[in-house]
Amino acid sequence: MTTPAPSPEIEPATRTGAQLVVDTLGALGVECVFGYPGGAIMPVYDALPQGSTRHILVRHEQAAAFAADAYGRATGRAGVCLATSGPGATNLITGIANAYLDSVPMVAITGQVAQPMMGTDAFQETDIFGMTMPIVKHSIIIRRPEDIPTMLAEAFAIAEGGRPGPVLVDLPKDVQQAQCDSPGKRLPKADVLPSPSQESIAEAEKLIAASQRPLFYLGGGIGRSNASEMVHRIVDESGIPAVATLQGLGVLPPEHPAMLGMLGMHGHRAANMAVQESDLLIVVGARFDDRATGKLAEFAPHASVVHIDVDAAELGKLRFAHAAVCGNLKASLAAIDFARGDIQPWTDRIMADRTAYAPRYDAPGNGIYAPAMLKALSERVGDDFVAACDVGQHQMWVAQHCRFSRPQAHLTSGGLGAMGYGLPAAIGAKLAEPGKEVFAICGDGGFQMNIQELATLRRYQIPVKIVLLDNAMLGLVRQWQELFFAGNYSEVDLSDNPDFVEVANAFGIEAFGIERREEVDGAIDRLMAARGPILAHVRIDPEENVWPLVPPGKSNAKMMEKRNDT
Amino acid sequence: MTLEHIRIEFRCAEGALRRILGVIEARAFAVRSMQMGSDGNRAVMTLALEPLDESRRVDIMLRQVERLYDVEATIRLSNAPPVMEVANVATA
Repeated sequence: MTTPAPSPEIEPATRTGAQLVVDTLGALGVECVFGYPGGAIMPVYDALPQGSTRHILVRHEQAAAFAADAYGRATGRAGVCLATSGPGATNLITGIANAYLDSVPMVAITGQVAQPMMGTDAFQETDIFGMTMPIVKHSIIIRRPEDIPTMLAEAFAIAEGGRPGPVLVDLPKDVQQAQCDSPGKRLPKADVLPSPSQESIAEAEKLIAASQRPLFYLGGGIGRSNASEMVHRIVDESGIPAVATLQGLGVLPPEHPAMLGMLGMHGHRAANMAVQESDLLIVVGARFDDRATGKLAEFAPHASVVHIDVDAAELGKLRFAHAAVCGNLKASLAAIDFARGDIQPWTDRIMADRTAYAPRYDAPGNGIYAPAMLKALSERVGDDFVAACDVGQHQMWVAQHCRFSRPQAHLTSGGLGAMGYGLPAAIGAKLAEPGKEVFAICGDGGFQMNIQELATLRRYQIPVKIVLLDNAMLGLVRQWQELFFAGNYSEVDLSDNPDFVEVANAFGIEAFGIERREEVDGAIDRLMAARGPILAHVRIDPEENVWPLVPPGKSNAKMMEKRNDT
Repeated sequence: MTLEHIRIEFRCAEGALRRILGVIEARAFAVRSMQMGSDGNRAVMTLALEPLDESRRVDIMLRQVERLYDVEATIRLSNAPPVMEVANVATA
C-alpha cells in the first residue's frame, strides 16, 4: 500500500485559484515544472513568481511533457508540465501518451476556457479532458477553487501510486481567477495495492524449485518500483540467469555474470535463444510487449510463467501466467523463496552463448562505428552515465551497447516510440539529477523534431551533452525498406540536413563535428571536459544497420544477423 | 458471435462514463446494448458486448476497466439478459 500524499496545509487567507495552484505545488514539494504560457493559464503564470517552484520555459509544449516525463523517470516523483488550453494542451498529448505507455508518473496541468464558455467552441477551447482519456491513468477538471489543494494532491498521489502514470488536471480560467478563503483539506483517496496471495506465492515457488531452465525476464516495473537493488540481490543469490526488456536495462549491468542482455527484436541472440529454450520465465514488472516477444504464439514455447506485477490487468493479458503474483513488487519479491534445483548445465551453456554471440566492434573502414563509440562513451563515463535517446537506429545501439548501472540512467521512449524525446528528456533528467553526466543521444531525424530546445539549454545553461549521430537518413525506416520493402527507399533521405554545428552555434551552444574513427576519443574527451551544454555532430555511415534483427511478425528464434558476421 | 454481458458499478465522477465506454471499445468490444441507472453519486450499468474477434477475452478487458479510478466493481454476467438486469437494479 502506498501512503497518500497529505493534503497540503494552505494558509487560510483569501487566495485565488491560481495562487492555490502555486501554493499547493510548493506544499507538495514540487521543485520544478516545465511549461509554456498562454491565455487560459495566465492566472497561474501570474502567481508562479510568488511560489517556490521553479519554472522552466521550454520552446514547445511537447518538450515540456517529455522533460516532465524524464524528470519523473529519474526521480520516481511526478514530473509536472504546464500549458494553456487548445493548442498548448494538444501539444502535450504525445508526451502524455509517452508517459502512459511507459508507466511514468506525471501531472499535466492545462488551462481551460472559463466554465461558462466550455462547450461553446470558444477560442482555444479543446476537450483535452476527453482527448486524453485513453492515455492517462486518471484525469480531472477542477471546477471550484476550494477543491484545488485536495484535487491536486490527489492527482500526484494517483500519478505516483501503484503502477505509475500520467494524470491530467484541467483548470478552467474562472476557477484560477476566483477567490477562495476556505480551501479544502480532505485527504486524497489512498491507492491501495493488492497483497500477493499466498496461493500464488506457493505456486511460484513450486515452479521455481522444479525448473531446470529458469530465466528472469526483467522489465521496467522494477525501476519504477525502486526494486533494482532487491532484484540484483535475488539474482546474485539464486544464480538464475536474466534477460531484460528495453525498459529493464540497467537493473543488472551488462557485465553481470547472470545477465544475458536485452531480448526482443534487436535483442542479444543469447538472450532470445535462452528465452526460447527456457522452461520457466520469471517475469518481473514486464508486460510481454510485442517488440520483446516477437511472434507471440511462438514465444518461449517450453516455458511456464511466473508473472509478478503490481497491475492485475497485465497478468494473463498476452501470455498465460501459471503463477500470477499480483502486488507491490518489493513485497512480492520478498515473499518468494527463489530456491531452485541444479541449473548449472543450463547456465553454463547459455553463458557460453553470451560469449559466442557477443557483439563485435571491429567494423571495417575508417568511418565512425556508432556502436563502438557509444560503448566507449558509456564506459568512460561510468556509473554516472545517463542517456536520453530519440527513436530509431541510434536508440537500439544505445540499448545494445551502452553500459547502464541502473534503470533510471536509460531514458528511452519504449512503448510509444516517440522521435524527438531525446533532447527535452535530457533537460528533464539533468534538472532531476544535476550530479549525473546526462547525454542526449539523438538521430538527425529525431533531433530536428525538438531542435528548438537548444534555446532552453542556452537560457538555463543546462550542461547536457548532445551526441548527434547523423546518417542523413531516417535510418531505421531505411533499414526496413532495404530488408522488407525490396530496397524501395521512400522518403527517408535527409541529405539536405542543415549544418548542425552552425545551428547549435546560432543557438549559442558550443558544437563541433567529427567523421573519422580516430577522432572519437578526442570527441569523448571534449564532451566530458565541457562545463556547459555542448553538441558533438557525428557523421556515420548511412547504410549501417542495426543487428541482429527479428523480422516483424516472426519468432525471436529467427534472428537475422549482419551478413559478414555469419 | 456470442454476446458477453457485464455489469459495472462506478462513482458518478465527471468523465467516468466516457472513460469506461472508451476502454471497452478500445479493447475491441462493441457495445450492442446498454442500460444505466444512477442516483447522482453512484451508477450501475449493464452492457451486452460483442468482441471484435474470438481472441478477445472479456475477463481481461474487465481488468482494464477495473483499474479505472472511478470504477468500484465489475461483474461478468453469465446468463442474465442485460435489460432485465438493469430493471432489477432500478427497482432495488
